[in-house]
Order: sequence, then C-alpha cells, then structure tokens
Amino acid sequence: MSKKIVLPLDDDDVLERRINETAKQQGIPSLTPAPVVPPGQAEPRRPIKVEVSDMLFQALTVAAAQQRVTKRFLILSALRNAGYPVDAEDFLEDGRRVRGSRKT
Amino acid sequence: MPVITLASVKGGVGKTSALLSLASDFALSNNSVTVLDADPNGHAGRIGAKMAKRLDGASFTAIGGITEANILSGIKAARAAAEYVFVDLPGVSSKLTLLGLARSDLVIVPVQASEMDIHDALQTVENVRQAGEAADKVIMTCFLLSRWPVTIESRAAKETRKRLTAKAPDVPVLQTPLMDRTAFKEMTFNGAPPRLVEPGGNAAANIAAIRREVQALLGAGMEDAQ
Repeated sequence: MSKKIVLPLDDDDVLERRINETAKQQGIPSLTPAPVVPPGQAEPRRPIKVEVSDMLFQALTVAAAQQRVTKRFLILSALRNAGYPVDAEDFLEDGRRVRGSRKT
Repeated sequence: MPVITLASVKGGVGKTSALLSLASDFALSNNSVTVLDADPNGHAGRIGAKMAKRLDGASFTAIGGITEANILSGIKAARAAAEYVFVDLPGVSSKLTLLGLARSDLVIVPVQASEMDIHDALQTVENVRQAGEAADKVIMTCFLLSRWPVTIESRAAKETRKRLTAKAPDVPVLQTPLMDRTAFKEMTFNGAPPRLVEPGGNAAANIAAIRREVQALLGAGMEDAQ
C-alpha cells in the first residue's frame, strides 16, 4: 500500500483522490460509464502478422474451439497477461459471429 | 450539520423506506432536512419530491441526480442549507458509495432477518472503514433491523441480532427495529409519512423511537469528537 500523504481534510479534491486510490486498490468499480470514443477518434490501429509452427497453430485452433473464442482473443489475452497494454476494446470482435452462435 | 447516510451494498433491504421515514420525522420535528438521492434507481428523489409537497410547512427538500461528479459538492451545499442531511447511496459497493460514506457523520446500515443481509451488512461496514481511512476519521456506524416482524420475533430475526452482535461487536444495533408495517409501504405510493397519516399510530411511534436513538447517537458522537 502506498504511503498516505497528509493533506488538508476539507478539500474535496484530496478526498476524491484518496477514494479513487482506495477504489482502485480494492477493485471497487465506478458507476459512471466510461466515455465512448467515436470510431473516427479512436487510436489508430495497425495489423500484425506472425508466422507460427503448425503445432502451435493447431494448439491455438483447438483451444479457441473449446473456449468458443477466436485465436486473436487467445493471443491478446496472453499478451495482456504478460503485462502488455491491451485494452478491453482490443478484445472486441470485428463483426464476425461468435463461434457456435449460429441458430440451428 | 450532521450527514446521515443510509447504506448497504445489498439492494432491497429497505434503505430508501427507512431514509424517507426518518428524514420526514426529523422534518416534522421542526428540523430543516435535505435528502440527497445518490442511488441510480432514483426512488428517494422521486418519492421525496412527493413527500415535500405533503410536508407543506415543514422544511424538507429532496434532490435527485447525485453522482460521483457532484456528491461531494452536493453534500457540502446541503450541509450549509439544512440542519440534517440524509444521503441515499446505491445498493452496491462503488466509488460513489465510498465518496458518500466518507462525508458522513453517521451511517445507518439496514439489515433484514437473513444470512445474506448479514453478510452484505458486514461488507458495508468494511466499506465504511475504507472510506473513513481515506477521510482520516472514524465514521460512526450502526445497524438498523429492517422490515422486522411485528407480532413475534422469528428464529431468523433472533439469529440476525445474535450474529450482528457477534461479528461486528463495535457496531451498535439500534434497539428499535423498523417494523414491517403497511404505513411504510403506503408512504412509497403517496409520499405521506406515517406521522402525517396517523400521528398516534404504531408506525409513527416506531419511526419516532428510531429518530430519538439516532439523535442520541449523533449527540454522543459529537461529544466524542470534541
């Protein structure tokens, strides 16, 4: 836990900052929805293509099928778990249907 | 001017009913009262507006639309304007909840006779502690037994009292429960508090007894702070 700074207590800004810190540490959510960034104003995105071994490709295919997610999702999850800055929006599907969601 | 907050991280515990009953009783006892509704459901603001019309002559104001962005300034303004400020917080643990708790002088946690209510009441007390730590103060907290059986105290009710005392010995349980009475339910339809509908009735006596306990707690709290 970070060291607390002693500041004037009647200051709403100070209290808000401390509450923000407490909420973040305790995983307490905000009820204010995050602002939606219009598509035109979103950060620029760039494609990346990686060649992998047949064995890794198959392993990803099987895991994606079992979890009903895309390979892209698995790769981004692994990158996020490794500490890379992957935002929640990066996981959004590109419009294709989720596996297995087609009505029979 | 004291800020009295009704809080529970569990919804449906009778938080808003208790708040409106109590706030109106303070107003009818010649105190100026402001109700701040920070619950996104907006019930206290909506019913409080009806109540303000019913309480014509008493100083009672209900303000809705309190959010993370304006709760601190809203409480500050209400404190300057009224003798008692009542805050209705969301029935969930949130940043808004912590902000409201941090500016409270007394937090009342309603608890119904159920294990789920006890569990979440204890979580609420933990949120009060966290908010107090952020505000560098100890926030007075008490439990209010809510929608309590009128005729006979059930086994579940007795067990609830017992567990609250055992698990949170530092948090007092108000002696007077908020009884499960029709008058409190009707109040949510017409905005008329029990003391207005039937001044000598059981519901009016019930809420008056709770008000006196709350005033005694606030008095003791103010003395401790000096």
